[in-house]
Amino acid sequence: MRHTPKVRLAMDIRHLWFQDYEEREAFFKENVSGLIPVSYRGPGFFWREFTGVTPGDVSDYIQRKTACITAFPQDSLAFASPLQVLRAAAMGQPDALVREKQAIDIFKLEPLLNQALRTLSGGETVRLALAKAWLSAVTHHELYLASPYSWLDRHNDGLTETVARAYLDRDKPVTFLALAGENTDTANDNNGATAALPNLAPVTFGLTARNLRLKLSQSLMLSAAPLWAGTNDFALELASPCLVLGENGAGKSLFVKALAKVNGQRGRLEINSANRGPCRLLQQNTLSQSLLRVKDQFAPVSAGPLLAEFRQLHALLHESVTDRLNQPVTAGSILDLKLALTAARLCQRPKMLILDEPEWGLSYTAATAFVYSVYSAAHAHNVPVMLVSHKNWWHATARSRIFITKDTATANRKQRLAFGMHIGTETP
Amino acid sequence: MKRLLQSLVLIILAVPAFTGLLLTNGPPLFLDIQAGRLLYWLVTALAIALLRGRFLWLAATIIAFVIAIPVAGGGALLSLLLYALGLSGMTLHQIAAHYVFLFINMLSMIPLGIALVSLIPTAAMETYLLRSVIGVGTVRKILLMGLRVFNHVVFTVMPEILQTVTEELRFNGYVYKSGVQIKRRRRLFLRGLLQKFMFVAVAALCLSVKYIHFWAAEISALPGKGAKRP
Repeated sequence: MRHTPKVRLAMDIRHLWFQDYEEREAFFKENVSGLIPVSYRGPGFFWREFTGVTPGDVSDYIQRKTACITAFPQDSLAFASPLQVLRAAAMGQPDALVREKQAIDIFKLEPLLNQALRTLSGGETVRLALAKAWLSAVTHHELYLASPYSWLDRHNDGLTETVARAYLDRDKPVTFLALAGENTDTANDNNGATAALPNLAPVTFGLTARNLRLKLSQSLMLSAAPLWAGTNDFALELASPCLVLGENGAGKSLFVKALAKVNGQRGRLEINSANRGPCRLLQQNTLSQSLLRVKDQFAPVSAGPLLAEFRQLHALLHESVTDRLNQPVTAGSILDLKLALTAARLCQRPKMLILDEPEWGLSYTAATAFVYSVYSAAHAHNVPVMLVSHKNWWHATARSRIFITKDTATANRKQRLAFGMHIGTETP
Repeated sequence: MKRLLQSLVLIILAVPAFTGLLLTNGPPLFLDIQAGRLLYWLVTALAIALLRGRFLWLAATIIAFVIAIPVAGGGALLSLLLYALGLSGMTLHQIAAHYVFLFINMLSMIPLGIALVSLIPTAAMETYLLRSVIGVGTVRKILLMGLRVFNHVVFTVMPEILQTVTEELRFNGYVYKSGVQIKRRRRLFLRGLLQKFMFVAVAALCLSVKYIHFWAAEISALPGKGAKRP
């Protein structure tokens, strides 16, 4: 089964398929923007790209009037909050306020209007980027949309079509820049080829939470009063790989950040597994997690057994992915970066390894090769794997599931509780 | 109104730092440092914690220490070197008194400055500058660009780096505990910390400027005050 836009749209939208992220970004830079330098190939590369942008490039960008949503949607939003982004997009249009209100309603942005961009979830950021593109349909000549099938869950599918329609109805072209297999719906649907599922040794783990409160973000550095999300108490016995499911904005990433103790939290949240190393997280936004380091710089600062372990795991992961892909991993690619980050995490035998949207920036085949290789390497070292994704690709491999649902009814201004979350192995 | 009152209290509190008023009161405790100066440090810390919250006070104090230790320590080392070479006109006592004075001053002034900056509603100012649906004048566009850089660094770059470092620093601790001799472990731990500090500094610089061209383009593209509607 394939997930494609409705017939008329599917015919009218130009689809460009790319084998990897780098190829797509090169096209994007050449044809649409080119103003944001690449930050995952080291500071030298970044600086060359940054200083290479001329005033001519900037005015070119303005003249071209091409609306675009980049692979990392935050990169296409220039202001601090959803309200500012929408106001800037609607500015100067006839009935600007009416259209702004329409965009807020269509893309369900009302509760998020004054939130800092960084505190929005992945899905919410895409909804905002889509709303901006929808408003720009009046003023801009065409639309380029990267990774249209990667960010939104099925409940929000229609939004991409709404935006495309806004352009097509005005006879303005729409181009989707997708990675190969991005619109694949299930694990066994890749042009008929079945992805080879790994034969995994059983690994189990437990999660316990009591009186847990999760800090919504560390973004408000200068604010004295952060907001919190409350959760139910739970004690879960789970089998790895464990899949975390929930709608856009339900708090999946927030929950796994709490497990990795990255965000602030109150109350008790424990992981019981065979290993004792700290729980490690591979973030969805691997680019920001890299801190502009290149792969050798992720190695632990040690000449001892840990460094040897890192090198061994890194080589093993590389070999496994190369075998599955039938081609070597390109040096300096997103996949290469993800492998180095994963090896650096696995070598310390963490209590658990969390992969937050591991398919981001990868084609279907690269994503399955990467995730299955991580499964094998982690299980061989007794490390349970938790995976956050709204793609159906991983359902066949999951041995347990956690469902997260957002409960806005429990919001409490006095306790600075923004919303509640229900976490369990079944939907409430 | 609450913000205005808080600003007023903090501005009044900053007066002694600029005028020296009340700071030289009280008996000298050590190295000619008066009790008034230490009391001032405590009063500013208390005022920040009460007015802006413990979190901000703690963060500002950590930042103050991170800045003050290399500045005062480095200055003192340099002065001592000049003294040892016979090139300094100061006595050892004067050098020590000067840098301890500087250190204590920085510990009071930096958090006070941060607390005052935190009272400026920069995010709300951006919204205010974008309130018109018709267009934005040139002066406002320039102000928007300045605010954008500040808000991006404070609300995006800093927390993002903090998040990454929080996750990775515990990894450093693990290296520290892994099976190597104590002396070597300490060396590795320090090396790891120094390396991370360098990565963080480079990343912070690059990520702060990353979107400048894009913002320039998006802000320039906003219609001007007298623009015609499409």
